Amino acid sequence: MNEIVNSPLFGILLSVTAFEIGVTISKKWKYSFLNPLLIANILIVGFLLATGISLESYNVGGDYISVLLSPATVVLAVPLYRQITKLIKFWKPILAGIIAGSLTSMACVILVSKAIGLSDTLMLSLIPKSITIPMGSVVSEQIGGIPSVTIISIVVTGITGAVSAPAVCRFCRIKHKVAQGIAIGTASHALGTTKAMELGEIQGAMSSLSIGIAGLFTAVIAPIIVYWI
Amino acid sequence: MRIPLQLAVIFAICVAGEFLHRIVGIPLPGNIIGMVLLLALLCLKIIKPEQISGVSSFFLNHLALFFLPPSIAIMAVGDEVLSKWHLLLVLCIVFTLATLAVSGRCTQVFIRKQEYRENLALRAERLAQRHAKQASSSDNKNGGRP
Repeated sequence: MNEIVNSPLFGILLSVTAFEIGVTISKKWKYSFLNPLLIANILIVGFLLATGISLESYNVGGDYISVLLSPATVVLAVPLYRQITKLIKFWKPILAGIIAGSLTSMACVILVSKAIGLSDTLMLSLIPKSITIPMGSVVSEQIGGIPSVTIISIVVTGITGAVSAPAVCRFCRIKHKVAQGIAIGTASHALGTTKAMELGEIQGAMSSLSIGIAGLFTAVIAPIIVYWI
Repeated sequence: MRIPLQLAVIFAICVAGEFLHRIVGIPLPGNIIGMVLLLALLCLKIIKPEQISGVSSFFLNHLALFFLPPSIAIMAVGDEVLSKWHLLLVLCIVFTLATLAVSGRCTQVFIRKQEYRENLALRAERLAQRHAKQASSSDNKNGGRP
């Protein structure tokens, strides 16, 4: 049995099956908290805990899928290219929104952590939580956080963004499609972008654009802020 | 392009991104550099979007799947996080909502301002054109007489 569990095929099968169940459920009941990734995550974690199969065994196959994050991020350039005229036209508001969002994210973490007395390591791990996984884990390490905690906070942030974005946009009357996309990408990186793509091509393109810029901005600013506080 | 060739193009861009990150030392992750590279190739019309549509639409339509394995790392958290998990969860959610709201509102406010200015400029331009037309037609009336 161990040979089966430790073969890459096992992790791949588990991931794809859980994801398909997640997609089916979220299509059937259209509540936004039924995010396919969230459902699949709970299914897999539950399955691994119930059967006692280790995370390492799962990752033998899981890593094959993680590798494809790279080409999946690269092709985000395609919707971005289709909306390039909007990007050029609104570059000032876009940049302002991304910088304001990134600063908000970092300021929230620092101020609240200080206020409630969270440990410094945890605070530092949470600072890059709004940026994409490959960048966030590097920034976390650089400023003295724990990368695995950062990755989890990034995933939680991403799922929150994907689930709550339509409601937040409605509540705050963010109606402009460009603004919606920028908000989603800045707050919740590529995971939120999956939701932005569903909302529309403009939102998707603007969201994918914000991933890179917000990530870059955070990567540059976070070490300076940390040095400063 | 046939699917294997499309895949070759996309993976070549990924490798180029990794090269620029690891060997040349650009302080951005390889996949973000790759995204910029592909955007540049599209803008320079070296690649047309239709030529890679098979692979790009596959990845774009199933984007969330590729985040699934990293998200399972949630199983391997340390005790400190485990003992405070509900607090951290609430914080992450609240901070994300705040970031969404600020970023979106800020972008929208600036877009509205820009659109307002452009509208004003457009109106001023039209008004100026109308004045110029009236002026030139009245000039003609006067100028037509000997």
